[in-house]
Amino acid sequence: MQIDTAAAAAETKKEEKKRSFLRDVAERFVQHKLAVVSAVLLVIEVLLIIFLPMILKLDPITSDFMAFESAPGKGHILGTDDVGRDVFARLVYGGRVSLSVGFCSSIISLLIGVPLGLIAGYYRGAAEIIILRASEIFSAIPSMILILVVVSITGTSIVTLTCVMGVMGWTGFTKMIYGSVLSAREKEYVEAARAIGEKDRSILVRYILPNTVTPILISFTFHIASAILQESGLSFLGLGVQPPQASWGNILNGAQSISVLTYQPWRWIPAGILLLITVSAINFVGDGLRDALDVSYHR
Amino acid sequence: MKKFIIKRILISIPVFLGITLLVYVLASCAPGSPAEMLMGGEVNDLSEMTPEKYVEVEAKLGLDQPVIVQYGKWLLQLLQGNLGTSYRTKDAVLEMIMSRIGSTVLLTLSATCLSAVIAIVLGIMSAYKPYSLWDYISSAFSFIGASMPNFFIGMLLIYFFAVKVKILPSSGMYDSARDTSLPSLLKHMILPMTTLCFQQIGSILRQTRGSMLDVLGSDFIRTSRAQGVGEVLVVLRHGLRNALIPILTVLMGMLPFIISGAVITEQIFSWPGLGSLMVQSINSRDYPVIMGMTVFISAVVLLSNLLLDVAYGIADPRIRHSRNRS
Repeated sequence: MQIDTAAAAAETKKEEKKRSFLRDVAERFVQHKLAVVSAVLLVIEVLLIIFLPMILKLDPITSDFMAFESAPGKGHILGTDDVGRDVFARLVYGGRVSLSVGFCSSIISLLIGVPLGLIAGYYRGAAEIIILRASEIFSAIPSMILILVVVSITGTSIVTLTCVMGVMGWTGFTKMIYGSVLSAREKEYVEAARAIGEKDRSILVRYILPNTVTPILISFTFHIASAILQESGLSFLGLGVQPPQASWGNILNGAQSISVLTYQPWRWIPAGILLLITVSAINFVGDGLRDALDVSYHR
Repeated sequence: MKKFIIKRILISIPVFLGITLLVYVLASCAPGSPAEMLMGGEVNDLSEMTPEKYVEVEAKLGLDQPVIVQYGKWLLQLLQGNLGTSYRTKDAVLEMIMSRIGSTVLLTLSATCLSAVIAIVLGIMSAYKPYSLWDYISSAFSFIGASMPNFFIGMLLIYFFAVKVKILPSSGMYDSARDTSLPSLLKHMILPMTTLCFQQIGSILRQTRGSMLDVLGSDFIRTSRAQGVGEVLVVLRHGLRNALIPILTVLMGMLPFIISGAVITEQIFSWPGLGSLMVQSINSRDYPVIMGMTVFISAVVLLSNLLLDVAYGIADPRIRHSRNRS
């Protein structure tokens, strides 16, 4: 009888602990005011980008021959560019491109980087040496230059750009996962799992991977932010997303001349501000997640 | 110690070979074979290249052999400083790099020094009074700086300081080709330098704050305070000195990132450095220059990492031992 209540007590305690971890995370995240504001902003932005074209009639590609480089006003809320395309429509469609290139390329980097990091950290030996050296090779070449070189050969369609950026961005994830696997594989429960004859793959997936979920999630968030910046930089140089397709970066590419800078601020300021807001919002969310999830940080 | 240095060098060799292999593979995918990229030096114009001449030069450079041998010969040429010849200008790639590298080093180095000074000062102030209003302001500032696309910063700076208030030039390195005076150079450097600083300050600041917080919380700081050492001395001599190594690591690790930033910044301000040469070459599909520069820049990054590691090993025996084990 006594044992029963003790067990029950332990059970409820466990329950409480489980529930309170998620609640703790949520509570700590909410404390980070900037992160909450940023998260709300991002959700609104994504919804707008998805649904605005369905509500309003937006055309980012067709030229309005009655209005080249026209200032914001009736018909074109944010004016038009040098070939008469509506800047507002280009911002909305450009947002779709910029955000999805940033997100998808980060997913690709994650899918390449995480398994390689797991393999290098768990199996050690030759695999470890090869993977770590390869990641050193890729990180010695400045990413911008490597991507520029590859894109100059493969071409610059949105899909290729996403893939190239994704493939070239794996090293960050690999190094991080490698580090956390190294410390996780020495834990007693991993040794215990090995002792009862669990297969390597199931040890990796069931015992080691869960340990790395938190750092993966955090660095994935930051990775998206830097991927968006990278795409916008490439498109700004005219070597990323090509017109007539819009992206926030290539909107600014069309505004490099001093005369556009001076007399047509609507052609570059809104896109720049959108980029700034989006990227800092993602970074703030990442920071909030780090504060909320990183248990060691708060102990 | 000697063992550690030799080991570090030995590790870098396969990485360097890997970089050249990667570039070689990329060059083979590009229009125009690596052979042709090297051959530019042998003939003045590729259109003058008769099939006989091609075979002759190919044999001379040993490029009619299997791919592995070809790669070897190409690598040998690289190591002797033959990075190929530009399709566009017919100049040797190495010479083009050398004529441009000075202005890039000048710009990036001064920007990095300036941002390091600013960021370390701000970081110390943040760490000294954590969670104060000042701390929040400076960390928000560093986040926004790191989130701002550098071309947008550049355009804003041009808009305000070159267009609205006409006090600073928006492009180039000197007022005219003849006027190569220092004041003119400094005036042209301010805007691109500020652009680069915006990007770099954030991560240095965060690192400074973090490691200063760690150090200032430790026992020996409390001891020196108890001994009546002045606050300034405690923070600078005892605190900063111990926090400096992680800060330097972050600083050096930023090198590839700084170079990437310089590519865009040089382009906006028409700064005649390696970055704008890179963009030009890519726009004109001048592959020998593209590939040569990629190898060159990565070798520089690799070398600086190597030097840094060795310097750490000398400065801090703990690092030497931990890296020896791994």
